[in-house]
Amino acid sequence: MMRIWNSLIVIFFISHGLSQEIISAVDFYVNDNNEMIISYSFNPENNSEKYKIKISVTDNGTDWFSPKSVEGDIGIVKESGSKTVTWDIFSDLDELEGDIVVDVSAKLSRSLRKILTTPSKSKTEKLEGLYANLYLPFIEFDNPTFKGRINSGTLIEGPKGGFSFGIILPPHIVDFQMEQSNYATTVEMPYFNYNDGLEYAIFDTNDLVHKSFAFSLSQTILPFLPIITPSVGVGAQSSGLFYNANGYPGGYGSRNHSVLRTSDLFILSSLHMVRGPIFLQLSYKKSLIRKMRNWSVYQLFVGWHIGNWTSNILGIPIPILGR
Amino acid sequence: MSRKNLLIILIIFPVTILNLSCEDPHPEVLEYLFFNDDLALLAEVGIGDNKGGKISVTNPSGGETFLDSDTILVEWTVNGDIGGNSVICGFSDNAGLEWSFTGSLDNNGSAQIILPDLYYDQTQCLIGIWSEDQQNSHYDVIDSYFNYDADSNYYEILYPNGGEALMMGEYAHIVFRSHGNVGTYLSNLNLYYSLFGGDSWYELDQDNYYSIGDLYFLVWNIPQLQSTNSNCMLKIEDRYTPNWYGVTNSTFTITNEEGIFYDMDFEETDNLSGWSLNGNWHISSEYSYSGSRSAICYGPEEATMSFTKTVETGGVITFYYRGEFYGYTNSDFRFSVDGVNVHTSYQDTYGIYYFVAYWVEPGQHTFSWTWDTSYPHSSSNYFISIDAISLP
Repeated sequence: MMRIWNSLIVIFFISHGLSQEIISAVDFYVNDNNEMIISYSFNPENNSEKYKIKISVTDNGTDWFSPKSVEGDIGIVKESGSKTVTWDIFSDLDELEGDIVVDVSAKLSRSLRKILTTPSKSKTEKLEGLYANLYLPFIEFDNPTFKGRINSGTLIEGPKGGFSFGIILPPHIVDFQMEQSNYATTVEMPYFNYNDGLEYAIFDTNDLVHKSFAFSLSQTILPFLPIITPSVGVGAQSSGLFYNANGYPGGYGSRNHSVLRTSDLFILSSLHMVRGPIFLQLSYKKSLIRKMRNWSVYQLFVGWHIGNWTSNILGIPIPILGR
Repeated sequence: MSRKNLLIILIIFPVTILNLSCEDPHPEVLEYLFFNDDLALLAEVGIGDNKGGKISVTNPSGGETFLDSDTILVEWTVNGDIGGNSVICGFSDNAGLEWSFTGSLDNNGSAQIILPDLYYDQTQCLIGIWSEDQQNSHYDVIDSYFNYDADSNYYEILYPNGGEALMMGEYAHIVFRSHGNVGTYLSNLNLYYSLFGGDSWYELDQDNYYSIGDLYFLVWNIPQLQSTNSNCMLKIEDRYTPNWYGVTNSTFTITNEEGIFYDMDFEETDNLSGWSLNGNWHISSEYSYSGSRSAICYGPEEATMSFTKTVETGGVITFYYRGEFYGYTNSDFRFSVDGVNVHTSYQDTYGIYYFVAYWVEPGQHTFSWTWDTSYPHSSSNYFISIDAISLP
């Protein structure tokens, strides 16, 4: 006589030890073809996640074995619902007798990329949401002329600042940035007047500016790190240097403005930290294709995060967060 | 199309569009400022440019080094019609950014050109020949730069210039001359002194700056040192062209040991031979700057003390004076060289000695110190005292 014992399997998340019933309602019977039909209910935490389903059987409570001649919802399984596995008993055993216990276990199956990029549920809940930042950009052109002029003090940096906003849906981050860095010269530099004649003037910070608009997509990495969440990404920046020609309007000596593009694709790495409404971020961007006008930027962000904490406090769902 | 490809297109598309959609005005200005310090970027007509293909400059060919205001031979050939029989020669000291042109030259293949007096050494100099009548259609510029050596630009420090002794805490009048195109406004100067024979330099604070003729004077409050230092030097540098500078020929001394460095200190050991003390001029121990005595004059009469000396190589005469005029502006003290008044004082010095320095050229010179007052008072309370004279 066979006795049925259904087991509930507990899945441990790697990073925070949260538990949830993934497998429930395990049942089985033997049909007329001597096949054991095993059924179970599969309730994954996240429907996009894959699980490895394993079945173990014992007829004496001590010796467990894994059936080989099985088909159905076994191995890698995803999406919730009722699942069925058919085991051809006598392809694997000569006999099966005693108190039969069937154990169905599920183990989260993640690729290395997912392991390295997908944060835990609790971290996801902290991070996900909208944000808006003010930030300080520290741009540097990887060019000996620029560095030489900065080091000699003939070119100096002026006021700078930026605004960014975006959404974090771990492991993905979409970001938009607008920034401006002003420069000035301490010695006279050549420019063209409206008659295209060459003249010299000291450029002040009202004259000389680098402006950019950037769009980037990032993916969180190393989700097991505490407090901070790193990310890497790629993006595109439309940017340029602008000489704003604030010279005397009209007549001799008036200035013709100048523009020089520095737009480029870029790679991006960031460290994010969310504490309630406070969003902190440190980023490094580096242009990919430019040679002479190759640039890199360090950015220091402080901003406002609208995420689950907001929903909890306000008691209303934020539609964009519904996943 | 996969999501990844779509994403890549979404990223690249806006950048490409934004970069190709507009023609930027004068990008070369910012290119030069941020990314490429080659002035040739900004030159409309620059190195190696040839328009029309009919003019070819054959000399200079580039790579030469010419001196300030040199006369050089420019040679060219013409093959075909260049729209006239005359040409003009252009010179640029900044890679073609700016050109200066000669007047009309006969198109005979050569001309002697006097290079201009330049302010800086230059390494991106160009010569070109233009058709005078069709300047936009026919010209040729040499294919490589030549150098311009403006090495005649320097400061000549006259005093102190080696061997002198200056007193700590006192004021010294540094005397220098400018040569070439060095800056002479105080804002153009970097001033340094060294206590280690020129191995390291400290910024020099000056108290006053003035000029007499082609000489410039910096009043320097000599620093207090821990002890006498005989390895002192001065350096004057053009702030905008630091390789234009002048350094004292050899070391001088800063000391706190008084009374041993002056050619005439009016002490008992000093020889007054050759000195003429007329009128009320006399030696007195009542006042002195160094030692215990000085030359003094007072009273209502004009009187002069003088000394004549042949100066071999040029140099600076320095002395200290103390004037007690008590505000009577009709009294004055004058110092003159060869009868030419070079220093006058109407002002009371309020009990202290003032420093005077004056550069004299080689030759025989008569130095005169004159007390002059129309105030009919013979009191010795109103006087002039001269002491610690150093002769060139």
